[in-house]
Amino acid sequence: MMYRPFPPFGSEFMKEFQQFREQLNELLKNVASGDVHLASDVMYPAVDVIEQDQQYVYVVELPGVKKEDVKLMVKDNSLVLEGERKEPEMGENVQKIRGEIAYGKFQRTLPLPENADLDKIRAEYKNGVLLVHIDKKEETKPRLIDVQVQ
Amino acid sequence: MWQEPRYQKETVRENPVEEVKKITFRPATDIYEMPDGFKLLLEMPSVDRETLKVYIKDNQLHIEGEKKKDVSDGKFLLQEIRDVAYERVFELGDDIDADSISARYEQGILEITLKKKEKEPVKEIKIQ
Repeated sequence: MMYRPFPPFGSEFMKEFQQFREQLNELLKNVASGDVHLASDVMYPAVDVIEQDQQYVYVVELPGVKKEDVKLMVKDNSLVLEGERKEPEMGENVQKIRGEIAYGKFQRTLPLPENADLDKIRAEYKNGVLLVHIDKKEETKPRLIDVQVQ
Repeated sequence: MWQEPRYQKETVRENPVEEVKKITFRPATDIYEMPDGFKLLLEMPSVDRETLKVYIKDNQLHIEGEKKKDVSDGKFLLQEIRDVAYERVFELGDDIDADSISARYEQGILEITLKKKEKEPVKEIKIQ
């Protein structure tokens, strides 16, 4: 007699389960290699990556982060973003009675598409959102570039 | 003070104008008490200033704002930023001067300042 708690193999459910297993393996691999940190105090800002005809746009939410506290680099064909959200100084005789906003260091490493032109990167910061525009090109060369946030 | 009314939840609500379901989201808030008032910081990135509303009604502080997408066309390769409408309500104490309210929006943070009412001088009543 065979006890079968799950639907038969090949079903939609098992396919999803298999996908989950693969994702979990991928995550564990990344944790082992040091690319992903689990349970650390580093924050990961939310990111949108949008592909347009002529360019890629990376949208990063960084509310309350000062421009000078953001560092943007291209490293190993990835866009590396790091910085710190510092708690505003309120002066003496001020008491914090509610604190929901998380302050501290943040970091994100985002792969760049192969046809991204690393010479044509423009970044702007407004309304707490960092916009990084990267033009498309035919071929790519590995390199390391510091990008100035405007 | 600074309690939130019970009905307020993150909800999916019908927007009668656009006929689309908009998800409302409560922005993370820091509150500071100063000797003469209060300061609130609300995390509300990429809000369209024209939709930003701060008002006091029935001794409740209302904060509303909608996100404005900076990039409207193209194919999403990664989508983590929630397309939401921000909404939050706080009950105010009796010692707040509603007319003193001021707000500014900078770097995705909405800063609201409220002053406390000046204490009325103690009136001494002569007993006859």
